Amino acid sequence: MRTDRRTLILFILIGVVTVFGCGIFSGGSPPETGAGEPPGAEATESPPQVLPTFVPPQITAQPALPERRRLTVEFPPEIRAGDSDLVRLTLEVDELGNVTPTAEVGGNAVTGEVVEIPNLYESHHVIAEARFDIAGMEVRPAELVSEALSPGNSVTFRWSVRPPDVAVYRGTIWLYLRFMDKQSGEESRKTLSAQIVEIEGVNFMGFSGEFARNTGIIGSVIGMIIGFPFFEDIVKFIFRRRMQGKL
Amino acid sequence: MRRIRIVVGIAILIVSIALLIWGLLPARREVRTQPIPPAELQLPTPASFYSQLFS
Repeated sequence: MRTDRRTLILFILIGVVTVFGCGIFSGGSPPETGAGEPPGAEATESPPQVLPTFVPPQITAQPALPERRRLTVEFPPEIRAGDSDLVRLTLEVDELGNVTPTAEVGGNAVTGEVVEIPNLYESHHVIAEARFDIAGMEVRPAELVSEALSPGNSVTFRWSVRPPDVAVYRGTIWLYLRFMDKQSGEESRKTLSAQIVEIEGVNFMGFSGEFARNTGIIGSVIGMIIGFPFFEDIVKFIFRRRMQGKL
Repeated sequence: MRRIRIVVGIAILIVSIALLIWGLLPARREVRTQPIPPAELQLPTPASFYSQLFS
């Protein structure tokens, strides 16, 4: 009887030790989130040491163009219907911009390391490409236009546009940069800008630009012919009215 | 009769000059300028996107 009691106590002890042992080696019980506990409390727990420690990323500067550029879009918001005008897109070098990139390492601590950015011009051919998409309006050239980008030089794209009718035309000027590796010839393309442009085709009392100019010239000649023989009479009439007014 | 001719002549002249001015007036131009930082002038690779996250 006494032996059975000892055996029972021994089994209980073994059981307790086994349960605690399993609890310890399994990494602890899952975190309990109480009702009053804030939701962010779980994140403050220190990670177990068995997990790999977080290695801060080593910032490697990607090759870039060592200059700050400025994009200028010039367009007429209104064009006489039937007339043509120019839309210009310029990617010029911003002379005021100083390129001094600094690296920020370790969260909020700014160390102020100056990153040497490899010059992309040395490793790649850089080509600026542009296209003007606008529905309903005549655009020349309608296809993609390319121009090589060189250090310190601006590139300018020009399109001739002509609204056929009186309407509001909305379009987009797309600007891409195409990088071509000098060694491997591998190409990659990046969209740099998409400028939304709105151009309105207008008229004057229903007259198109060309019609108004032609009518203006013909009308001026006719008006001069009709009015000119009586020019002297007009001057006399005005002079007489003034004299009467003074008296 | 003279007065009518003068009035008609002047009216035609005014309308014609107005049409000419409108037809020859240079179009108003809108200029938009946008600075492009060097970060935008990088190769389009995932690595560049990663470095932009930490810059």
